[in-house]
Order: sequence, then C-alpha cells, then structure tokens
Amino acid sequence: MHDEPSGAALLKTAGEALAAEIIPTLTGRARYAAAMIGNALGIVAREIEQGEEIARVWDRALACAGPDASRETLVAAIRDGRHDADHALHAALVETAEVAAAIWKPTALQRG
Amino acid sequence: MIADARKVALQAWLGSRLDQPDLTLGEIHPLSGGSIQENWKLTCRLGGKDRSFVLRKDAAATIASSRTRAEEFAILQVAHAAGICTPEPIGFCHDPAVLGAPFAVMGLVEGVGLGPRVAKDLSLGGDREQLAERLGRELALVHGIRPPQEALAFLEQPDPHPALAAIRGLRAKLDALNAARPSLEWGLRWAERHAPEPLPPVLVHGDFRTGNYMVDSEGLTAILDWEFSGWGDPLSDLGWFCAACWRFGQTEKEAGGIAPRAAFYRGYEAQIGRPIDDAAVRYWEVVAHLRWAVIALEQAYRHISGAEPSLELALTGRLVPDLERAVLRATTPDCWRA
Repeated sequence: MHDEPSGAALLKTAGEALAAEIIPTLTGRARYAAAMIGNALGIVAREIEQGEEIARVWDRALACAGPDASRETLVAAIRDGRHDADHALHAALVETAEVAAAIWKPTALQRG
Repeated sequence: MIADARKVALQAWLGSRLDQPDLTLGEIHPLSGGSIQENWKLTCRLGGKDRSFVLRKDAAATIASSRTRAEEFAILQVAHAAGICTPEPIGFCHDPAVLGAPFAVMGLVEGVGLGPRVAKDLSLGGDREQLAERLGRELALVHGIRPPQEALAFLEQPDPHPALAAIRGLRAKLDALNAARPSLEWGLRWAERHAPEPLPPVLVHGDFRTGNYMVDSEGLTAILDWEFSGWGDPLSDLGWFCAACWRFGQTEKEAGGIAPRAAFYRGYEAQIGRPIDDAAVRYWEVVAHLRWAVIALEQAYRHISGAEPSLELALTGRLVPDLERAVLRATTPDCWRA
C-alpha cells in the first residue's frame, strides 16, 4: 500500500504547478527547458497510470506470434514474412502504438 | 568560442580566399546550430562595405550518417553552380591550424528556417502556394544533377534499388540499437514487399523538408543542410517533404505544412518535364516515417548510452509510437498485395 497522493497524482500536480507558476515567469532557453520538464512529468504520470493497459496490449500483440513469444521473436517472425497482412497482429500493434502515443501526448490520437 | 589568435588566422584565410587582403574580421556570434555542427556568424569589412558570412565546423558529437564538412561543401558548390537557391559557397579550409578543425564559409542568408515557425507564421514565405511551387522547381533542379559528376566522385555509387537499400539500412540500425520495435518492422516488411520500380539515380538532397530551407517575408531565400545528400531515387525527396511527420501541426497542408500538395507537384513537374508517380511518393512517405522513427531512436540512444545526456534527446525517443501509428495506418492488411 502506497501513501496518498499516489506517485502519478503527485507528478500530475507538480506538472500543473510548473505550468501555472514557473513557466510563465521564464523566457528563452529556460522556458523551453521548463516546458520539456513539464512534458517529461506528464509522460511519467500517464505511464504509471497506464501500466496495466500497456502490459495488456503487448500481451495481445505477442500472443499473435505464439506462446512464449517475445518482442525479439515477433520482430524476427515479421521480417521472415510470417505475419504479412496479418489482421490480428496489425490490430494489436495499432493498440500498442496508440497507448504509447497517448502517453507521449494525450492529444496525439485526436489528430486521427 | 573562437580565441583571438584564431581570429587573426581566420581573417588572413578569408582575406586571401576572397582576394581581399584588406578584409577585417569584426564580430563573431554563435548561430543556433544543429546538434551535428557549430555555426558562427562572421561580420567582415571588405572593399569599404560590411558583409556577413556563416562558418560551419564540426561539433563535438557527430553521427555516422553525416558527411564530412568538405564533402558537404563540395555538394553545395555543385548545387549552387546548377542554379539552385543555396547560400553562396565561399571557401573550405582543410588546414586544422586555422581553427582547430576544418571548416566551411558561406555567404550569410537572411531569413527564418525554424520549421514550426515557417509552418505557422503566415507573414513569412510570401504566397504559400507560390512558395511550394518554387520549392518543387528547386527540388527538380537538384534532381537534374545526375551521375557521374567529377566534383562528387566521393559519393557512394548509386544503389540499383534505393528503397530496398534504405530498408536494409534501417533494419541494420535497429539491430545496432538492440531496438525490438514490431510496428516499425511491420512497416519495413510492407515497404520491402511493395517497393516501386526505382527511377534512374539522381542527386537527392536527403533532408528536403520544412525546417531545412529559409524564407523571408517575400519567399524562399535558401535551401540548407546538404549533409545527407547522395545518389538516390528522386521520389524519396518528395516523400520526405510531403510526409505527415514534417508538417509541424499543419496536417491538412500536405506539402511540408505550407500548402496543398498540388502546388508543390506543379512546380516540380513543370521543371522536371514529366508527371510525378503519386503512388510512389506515398510509398516514400511511409519510408519517411520509418526513417524519422529510426533517427529518433538513435537520438534517444545518445542520451540512454550516456554519450550525451539530454532531456531533449530523451524526449525524442518518446515520439516514436506516434510515427508507428502513422506507419500502421498507411499499411493496413488490405494495402498488402497477395
């Protein structure tokens, strides 16, 4: 049992404080660096929150390559042409990319 | 910084290069440079007038796919001689005694190059359709340079199938990074299966996109960043320029985030004198996303490996899934030939 607020919630609050109180006071390189720090905090917070979902979508993708498949064996199978036009794998890979893209930037998926 | 003793040597070299022994070197300012090289602005007095130049020199960390400064300068000379809108090549100094490393000097070009600003700030670049047309014509001039060229004898021989060579190269880089990325592999496999017939080899710019040319309020002022040029398939440059990942948020403007695709095609076709194979350009747009994804992984690895700790490089690694989404969208199972 972790203490409250959770790590993810704390990072989210830290990011909000950075955006509201620090970034507006900065200019130039420092502002750019602070904005990058804000991005990094948001990514980590979302990654913590989405941990189970990340595991689920990767399990589904790896299951397409058989039992005990790893990302490395899946890569080898794709290169060998064993998954050409594989509908199930394509759908599963789209899920892995969408979950990770939304962790990177929540607005990414709105662009279609 | 450039030390005072070096400034004396630089002034003498530049004066002799321009045949202006009375040239005096004034201020030297750092310019926002790439991660690959250092750029400096030199202000000089010669023949009773002020004139500004750009000096380019290798930065500490360089990546393997970047050409030597001397080769880049030779490509710039060939491009400039072909009438392409580039900075004026002034001279190349091979002697490390002058500045500690070889360097190139070009005429300074005024303008804005930063991709997001060029895409967003409509007070720049003049009429955007005309800008895209002009860029199409300029690119066609680049593609008018064909092998063999004595001045470009250092370039690798053209590969008979540049798309397949690109795929081999990207797979080798993924392997070197130990990066197991099934979505990129899906795209690479599709690209291997669906590569169009290559066009005869031409000089390709290799990084022709918004962000690598400069504009002022009127229009184009210079095409920059020739360090990835080589013999290749001309449509690879068109795909890189139009790829969604280089539109800087202006997704509906398919020509580099600045204008409709048709304007860019129109300029290119008028200059090159043959129609563009649009399906082949779209193929190269998929390859463009794959290439940018691999470059992003390489940049992240510079941070991860400890070679160059940097939050910016670290964050670059995280944009890869968004590129993977674009690749997967363009290569759905119904896009595969049986």
